[in-house]
Amino acid sequence: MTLLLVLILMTVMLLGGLGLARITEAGGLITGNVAARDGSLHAAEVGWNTAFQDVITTIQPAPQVAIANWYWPTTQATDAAGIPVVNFDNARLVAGNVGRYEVRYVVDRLCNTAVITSVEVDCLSRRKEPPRDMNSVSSGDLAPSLAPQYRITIRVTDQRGTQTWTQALVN
Amino acid sequence: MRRHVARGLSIIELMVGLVVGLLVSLAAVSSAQLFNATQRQGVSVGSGNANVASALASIKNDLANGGLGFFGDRTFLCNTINLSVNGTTLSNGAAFAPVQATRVASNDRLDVAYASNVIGGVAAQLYSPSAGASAALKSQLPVVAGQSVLLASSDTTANPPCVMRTVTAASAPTLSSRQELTFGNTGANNQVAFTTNPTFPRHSWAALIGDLRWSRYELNGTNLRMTNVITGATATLLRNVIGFRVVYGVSAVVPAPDDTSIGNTGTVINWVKTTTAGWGALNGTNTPQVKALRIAVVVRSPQREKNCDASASKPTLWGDLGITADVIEPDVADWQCYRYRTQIVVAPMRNLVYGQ
Repeated sequence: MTLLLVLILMTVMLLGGLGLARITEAGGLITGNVAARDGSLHAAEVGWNTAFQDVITTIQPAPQVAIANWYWPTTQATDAAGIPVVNFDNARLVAGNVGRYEVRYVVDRLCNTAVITSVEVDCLSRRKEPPRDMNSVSSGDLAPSLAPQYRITIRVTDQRGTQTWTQALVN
Repeated sequence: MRRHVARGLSIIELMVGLVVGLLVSLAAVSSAQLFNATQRQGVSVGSGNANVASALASIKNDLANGGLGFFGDRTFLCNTINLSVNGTTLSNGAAFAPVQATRVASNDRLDVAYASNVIGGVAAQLYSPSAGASAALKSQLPVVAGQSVLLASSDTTANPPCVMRTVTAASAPTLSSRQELTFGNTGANNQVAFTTNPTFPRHSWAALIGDLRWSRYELNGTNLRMTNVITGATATLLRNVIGFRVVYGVSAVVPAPDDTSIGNTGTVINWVKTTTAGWGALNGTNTPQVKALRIAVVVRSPQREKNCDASASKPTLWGDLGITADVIEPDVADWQCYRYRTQIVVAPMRNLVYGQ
């Protein structure tokens, strides 16, 4: 009788211990997921900075010219989530990855034509202020100008294949 | 005559065996009770921490988008708003801020609103005045029928309410004709007449919202509840919450447009509570100063501990920020018998910073 009672209690304790271990594991997984998401957003920041530099140095010298797989001078169609429907597997890759994340990005200019006749009519545009450093500009540069907007879409993929998407507008 | 051989246990052996068995049973039962109590405590603390972390991560993700679609050319667009969805009025010219923490009873309520479409980050100007039924745009806006657009007046003197409208038709712009948006009566945001129906002068703003996202976080008893303000749906994020407080990270003064200098104007130098004078409600004046939010959740352990020495003092917040610390009042009289955990998240308000 005593042996039976002890066996039952030990079984109950064992099951309880397994439950505790499982819940502890789930807590770790949730915390891990939250941390992974934070990490992917930090990686996206690196992608954003790289893409912004590309807009300035690579795209803006000849904005009407598409660049295969990652830049389009006209607005691309999007899916229900607002992501351009393009092949992200061939999109521009941040060299060397960012830690354990693969970061790819595409840029599309929010214009309805590649060769712009009027920025106002053809593009989503925003007033662009002149530089505030008065020593670096001539008086002719001081008037605000309209600048077309570029949409940067970044895909971050971690080692498990989980994808995080971020977007930003720049000009 | 053959003698019977004694078999089995003597009375002494039996009694000793019973006593030993009884002692082993008592030890096993008390061990099981202790184990179960420890297990419950461990489970509640462990899962509680994970729950708080995931709830705060969810709020932070929401806040990261807060304000998108509510800024024009470096201008905060809406102090008040007219908003209706499918014939139901949600705001009839009421005060509005896309990110707003409001003190309710002894805790804060946090509202976060933003556009679902990143294009909401740039608003187009109206080419000609609009009475709200249609709008001709100066700049092209990549909008399709079914999406929502925020109309905001350029009249900063009268400062009439913004109006959310659903686009029912959009023409393509040409060099000879401007893009024209139509807001027909069938649109989800177009079915209610408001007390003030403003006319929008030339150079007013139209921002693409897509679908408006508006979440409200607040305590309902000791449950942290999220409400979708648009649909009215609610979800409980956390239980046993005794404190939900927010402070704003603000710059000293309102930065000038396009001020990219690194200094006091652009960085957080003060943390202010929602009870601080001038910060009870955000508006066009103080919103440009907001750079970040710090959100704290204080959770009480669900299980009362046997010995009431679990907590020596009540939980406090913000003592490390150089402002007066808030003491969070527990919801139970025997508060020393419970444990309390505080988790804090800091969310930078990028759309508020870059929007102006």
